[in-house]
Amino acid sequence: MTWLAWRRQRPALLVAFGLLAVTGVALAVARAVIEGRAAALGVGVCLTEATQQCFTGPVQPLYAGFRETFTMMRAWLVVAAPLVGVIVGAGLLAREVEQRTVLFVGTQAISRVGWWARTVAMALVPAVVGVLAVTLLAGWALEPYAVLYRQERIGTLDFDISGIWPVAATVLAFALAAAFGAVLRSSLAVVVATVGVWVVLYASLSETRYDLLPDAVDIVPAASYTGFFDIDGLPQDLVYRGAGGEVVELGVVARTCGSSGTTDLCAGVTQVELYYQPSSLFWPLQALQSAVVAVLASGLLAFSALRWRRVMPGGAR
Amino acid sequence: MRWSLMRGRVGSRGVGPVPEGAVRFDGVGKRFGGRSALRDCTFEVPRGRVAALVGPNGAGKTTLLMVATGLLRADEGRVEVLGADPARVGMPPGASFVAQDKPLYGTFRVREMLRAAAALNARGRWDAARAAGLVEAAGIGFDERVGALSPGGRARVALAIALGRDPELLLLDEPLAELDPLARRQVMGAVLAASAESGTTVVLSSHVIADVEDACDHLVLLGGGRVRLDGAVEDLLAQHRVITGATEPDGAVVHSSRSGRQVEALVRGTGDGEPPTLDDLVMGYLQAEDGRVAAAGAPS
Amino acid sequence: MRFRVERRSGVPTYLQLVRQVEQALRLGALQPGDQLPTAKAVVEETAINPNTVLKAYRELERGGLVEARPGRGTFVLRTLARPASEVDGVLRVELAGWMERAAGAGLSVEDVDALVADARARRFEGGGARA
Repeated sequence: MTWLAWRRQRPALLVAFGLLAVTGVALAVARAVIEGRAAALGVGVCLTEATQQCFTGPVQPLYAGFRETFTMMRAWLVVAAPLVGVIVGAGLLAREVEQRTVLFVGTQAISRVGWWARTVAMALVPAVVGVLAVTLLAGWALEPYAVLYRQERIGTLDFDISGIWPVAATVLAFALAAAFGAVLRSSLAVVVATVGVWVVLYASLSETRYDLLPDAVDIVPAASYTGFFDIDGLPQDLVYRGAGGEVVELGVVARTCGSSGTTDLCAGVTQVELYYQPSSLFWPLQALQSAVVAVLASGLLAFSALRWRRVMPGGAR
Repeated sequence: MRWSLMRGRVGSRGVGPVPEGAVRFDGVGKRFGGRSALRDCTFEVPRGRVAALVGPNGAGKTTLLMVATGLLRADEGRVEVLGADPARVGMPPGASFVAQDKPLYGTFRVREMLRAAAALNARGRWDAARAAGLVEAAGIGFDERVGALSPGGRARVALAIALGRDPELLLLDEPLAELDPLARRQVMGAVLAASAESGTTVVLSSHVIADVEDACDHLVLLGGGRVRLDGAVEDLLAQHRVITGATEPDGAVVHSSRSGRQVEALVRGTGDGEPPTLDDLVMGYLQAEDGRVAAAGAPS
Repeated sequence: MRFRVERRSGVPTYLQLVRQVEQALRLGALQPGDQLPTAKAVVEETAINPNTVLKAYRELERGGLVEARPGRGTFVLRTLARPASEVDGVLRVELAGWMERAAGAGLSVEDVDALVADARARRFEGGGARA
């Protein structure tokens, strides 16, 4: 049965793995290229620890030259994880219904739920393993970039490609595809529906992500305020306070203090409150979001299993 | 309206105790939304028969077969296939089904398709040698792609897989549709060989009587979701007559039609007239309106 | 031995099989001890119901022409071929001559068939076409 589950999904699995393999190669190449360029410019150290000098002088070409690559790679990784889930999940059941092989499978000596479970496992397990591997590889390959551009793992794009979230994204996409596959008859419809719903869910989760857990606050006397620079986390909000604890409007500060960047006792500001999501929240947030996905995915897979027990293409002709 | 005759052992093979029927429906009904696909269906196909399930398109033949295999659940009535209830056990073990279109995995090679069938039947009976032998006998190469086979080739492979389960009952939905005459002969030949060799009961549906009339010794006629006829072909033919005359004859007239000055009537009875062909019988009952069959003097 | 089934001939299928076996026996194509094809082999080729084959074989058995041996098959018991004699030879020659004359007179195959059938019916079946 394992062989059969593999053979039926061989095309989808090969495509998914091809995708991941190409991604992996691209990642390794990306790291090699940036390291080579940095070495050529003599600023290799900027890739392990970014100091103030890393933004001017000889580093400029490095800094300017790889920002787009960095963004594109991360954007691709955000898309790739759920894409793998869709690829291996969409054809799972919809194609059986499309080709009516469900009438064949349903009349052999096999429990339908058992068949469904093995099919799901054969698709999901390799997909998860592959995505996990690529996630780890990406962590390694993009490290120089992360250092250079001072990206925090907890930040939006980086959060989505680190930790266990990519795997959760894959599982969610897969579960959606499996659920739609048990209801819709064409693989194409399943893909469209899955992508649509996944995007909506993803948008909701990212929108609310940083509202889930409380911000940390750094209270900095105005004299020593040098910006959000040294925060270990993702900036959320900034409040200027005067001597009596009153809030000084951002607009007032901007007009009064100009754009020099220092607010030393300007407009009556005595302290600055920096609200941010600390990096230590990375794993709790990953856990929270993944838990939501786990619950949704379980529900969707259970629905798919139950539908599959009674699936019959719209009545006999 | 249904005419059910003595389901005797005339024409059946084999000696021994009369076994229970292979397929038995009792008052079975099935609805899809508001539409009734099967209504009060009652019939019994005894073991060892080669039965034709005949009726026009849309009569409910596919629905009936799917209820018998557990793919659909009846809304009312009792279903018994090889002594089991398909609504409870799913596909009755000992039965095999080939759906219309002979669904197979198109991208598989024949060899892989057989392997898939073996995997799907690991928990039941599977005779790999028999299935492979049937494929070879059909002249189909094991490395051919299933999707590239001719309709006849697909039918042979699907049948080989069905027979690989060593079934006591073979259920076939329109097995001859879309086949050229040679393939039709070969597929029927293979089906009947299984019946001859192992006593397998066969129920096959068709909307073309001519395809099956030489092969079948039992008839279940379905029209508008109802069973119109159920019995051994020999008995059914012996107990009807076709009478041609100037006026409609007395007695239990199933259906009569007038052309010019002649009236031709299909009559239930054993008196005057010609024995009907299977076609006469089927067309007569399909065209008879409900309640048209006179109950007077009905022979048992 | 291969069977040919004429589906629209009006003759019951089993009877066609019986007659074809009898014909084979008459012509010596089947000899005592030969095995008749199994029901499986016959239906595989002709796509008729296995019962029909068995009915035909039972009929032949009843006529003492064949014998069913359980587990082994159905075997021919006796032949219907008459030993060849001079009378046969003379009759054949006369028949060939008659055919020549009929052809010379412009008769078609159908005409010949009709004449022969009628003469045969008068002599062997006590009937024949009314003139």
